[in-house]
Amino acid sequence: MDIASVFEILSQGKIISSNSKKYSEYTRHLMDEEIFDAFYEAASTLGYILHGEGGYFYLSKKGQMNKEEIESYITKHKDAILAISILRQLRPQLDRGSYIVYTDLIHEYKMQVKEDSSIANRLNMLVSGKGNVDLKSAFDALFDRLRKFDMIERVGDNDQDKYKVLDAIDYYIKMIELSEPNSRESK
Amino acid sequence: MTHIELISLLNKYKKVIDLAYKGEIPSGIDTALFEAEIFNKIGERVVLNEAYIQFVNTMLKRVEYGVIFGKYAEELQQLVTYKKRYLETSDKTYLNRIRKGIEDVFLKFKRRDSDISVLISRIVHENALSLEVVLDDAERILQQMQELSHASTQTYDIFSKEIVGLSKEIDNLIIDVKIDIQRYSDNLHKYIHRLNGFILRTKQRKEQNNKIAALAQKITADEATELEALLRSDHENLHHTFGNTKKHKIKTLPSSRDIEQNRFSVILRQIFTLQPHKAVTAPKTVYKKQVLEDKVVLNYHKLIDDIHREMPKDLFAFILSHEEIAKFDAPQTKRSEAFKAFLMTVSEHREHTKIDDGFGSHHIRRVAWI
Repeated sequence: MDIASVFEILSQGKIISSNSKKYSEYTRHLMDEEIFDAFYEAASTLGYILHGEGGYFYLSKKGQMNKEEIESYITKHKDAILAISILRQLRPQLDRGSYIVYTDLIHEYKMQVKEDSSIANRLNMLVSGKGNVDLKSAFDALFDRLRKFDMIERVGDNDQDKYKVLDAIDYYIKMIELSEPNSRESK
Repeated sequence: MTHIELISLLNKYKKVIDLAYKGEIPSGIDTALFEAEIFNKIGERVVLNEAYIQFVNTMLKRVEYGVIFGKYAEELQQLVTYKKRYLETSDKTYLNRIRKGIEDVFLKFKRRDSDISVLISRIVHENALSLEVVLDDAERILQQMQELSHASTQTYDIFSKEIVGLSKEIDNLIIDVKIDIQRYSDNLHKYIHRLNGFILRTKQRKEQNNKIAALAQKITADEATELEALLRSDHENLHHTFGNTKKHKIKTLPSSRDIEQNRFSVILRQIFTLQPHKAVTAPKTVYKKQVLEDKVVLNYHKLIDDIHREMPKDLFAFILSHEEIAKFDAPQTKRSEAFKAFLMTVSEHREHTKIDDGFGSHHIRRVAWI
């Protein structure tokens, strides 16, 4: 494991979590303070800022983004927040380190959508690029997004249904807390 | 009905009973189940026997908090009454009742300790219920545990001050029981601490969920201006999205009218600055012709054999004039090769050499082979 390998992963726009099995080697490497400092310096000269807090690591970009980058960056964050809102509605106690089961969530969704159609609106908005899709395809897309946002990771190879919630979910939750400083009672 | 017949009946109607246990009363329940009082009718309503539910809950460790938090005050009061009667009558029956009473209270404490532990684990890991229900349950349990903590202290005091001194046997029992009650009381404090932490976290989670729902609502209504402002203002510290950026390449082609023009290259020059291309010549490498060289090698074994045979008085002079040295062309090379062979011979065959004090013809110490 070396700085170059870590940079290769992080420069793809990934957030890697300490409780991720897939990236455990990378996070262990970054937890070494000396290595972190060396990487921070190296990333800084390349125009990035390395962040490592709350059990997750990511790179941000110094300087101005172009219009396309800004658009993609805002859309990604909005999508991630929508995905979290669906997860938290189906599993109110869900947090980093929790486990979710794909089929259980579909079952819970079916129960809840009868009483609250807003969850369907959010799911549709999140997977709108896919056109009119059935519930399974919509959930496939939701889980696919959650994986791409580095918020969940499949547990084991055989158990295709179970996922672990990664530390990176806290990155988005912190942002929500910053954006919504005053608590409001939801309906 | 015998026990085995009851088990068979339960097995036969296990699906119906299981549904009822989960809170769903199926229609068309067999009369045998009513006869065995597994099910009861209250007016028109059909219910699963409460005793059965409690039995299953106990076996499955699914304790209900209503069952756990029994009343101790009455039993303690009874102990004090028995003591009074005993002191009045000296009837040992009261002593036996006091002993039994202490044991009962102790057993309740013991069972309650394990039940509360299970109950708290269950509520902390509860996923299916809404946070409101979980919070409500947790707060009620916490309140009852705080009352219990007070009751434990009271029990401890009554055992220590009121009941003690009646008989040696009871005093010893009280000492044993008090140690355990103290332990259960400590556990109770730990449970209260754990539940307090859980309630606090759940309240925070509830507030957080409200914020998430509020922001998600804004996003769907395209009104998330605060979030967008936050993202734009702090983008240098927030997660970049290089991985998701698509690069659009714009391709333009010249129109046929442009190509038809004779001076198309002139038009191109008006748009672009073209740099003339300089031809770069590859540097010439000078190669040397490969020639074979005859390598002259000294046959040291032959030289040693000759030395053995001739036994020279001046070893260096002998080597220098030897045919193996004569192979070399230049006198300097001959001398140098001879000297190397001389040194090697002297060092390897020390026992055959006699080194003189004097020097030979080539200013090298004279060495004789012996």
